[in-house]
Amino acid sequence: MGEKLHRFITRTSLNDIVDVEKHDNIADEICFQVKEILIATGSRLSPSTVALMISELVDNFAQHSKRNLAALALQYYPQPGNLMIAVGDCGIGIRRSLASNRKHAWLKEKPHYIAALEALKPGVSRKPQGGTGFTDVLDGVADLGGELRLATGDEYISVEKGQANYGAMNFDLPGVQLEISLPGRISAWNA
Amino acid sequence: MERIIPVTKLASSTATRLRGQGAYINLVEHLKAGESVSLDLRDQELISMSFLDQIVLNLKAADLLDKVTFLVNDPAIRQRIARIAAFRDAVIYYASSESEPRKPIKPQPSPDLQLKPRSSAADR
Repeated sequence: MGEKLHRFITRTSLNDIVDVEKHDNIADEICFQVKEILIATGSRLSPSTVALMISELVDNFAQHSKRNLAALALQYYPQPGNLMIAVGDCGIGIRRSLASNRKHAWLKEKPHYIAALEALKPGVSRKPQGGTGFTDVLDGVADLGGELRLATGDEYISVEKGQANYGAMNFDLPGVQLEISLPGRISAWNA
Repeated sequence: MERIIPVTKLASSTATRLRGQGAYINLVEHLKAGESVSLDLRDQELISMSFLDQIVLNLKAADLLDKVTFLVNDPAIRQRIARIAAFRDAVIYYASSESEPRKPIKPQPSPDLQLKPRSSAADR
């Protein structure tokens, strides 16, 4: 293809154009790099938990977006130790992906947020085998006292402390854009 | 005593469903003789739910799940297995060490999310 992809790594950040077509092992690869960055920063956040969350998100994109590229950004802020993670793609989006499975075809005419909330449930997937990625991610976000925000189509959902919020956006985006905020200090963040 | 198979002998990585599929294919070779085995997940932190789920799904479909004991001492990994037991309706045996008798893991469903009233993006 000749296309140059860019991965930028510093002691506290990782920015990548995730290339699924060329990298079968992209989720494994990023998982290990994230873990190394977090260990190097001395973050209070469990490097393994965060690395696995990101691995699941990247793998979700690889399995379901029907596109070859996605963007991943991770930034650690030493003071006060917050971590921001963003993954986005321009694929088919959650509603269309899930509705392609006959079991979830009912989502086809539903608002995007309904499909997004459905996708968070264990075992819900476009494929007969699958549907554990978001379960792992939600457990990780809850354990680390963080917040997950997800946009698909013209709506968004956010999940924090076991509560889900949803709403409309003023624009309609292709694919899925997801952001996770993890606090350096749980008490300060949740105050 | 059951044969103990470290998960690292079955897969080069334990982070994805694809690796779980490979691990299952290698694991089933050990089960062909009809013997039971312990799958050792100790000392391995990067084990995703997708990886574990793929192994469990395959073992369940092949009616081999009761031949495997998951050796696990990390609470986070034990929780992942308990989640899988809940939503796959599977009886999964585990033990914390090889000297401990195995027991079925207590299924642990994911908590339901409480849906808050609709808000607009401008409110955030």
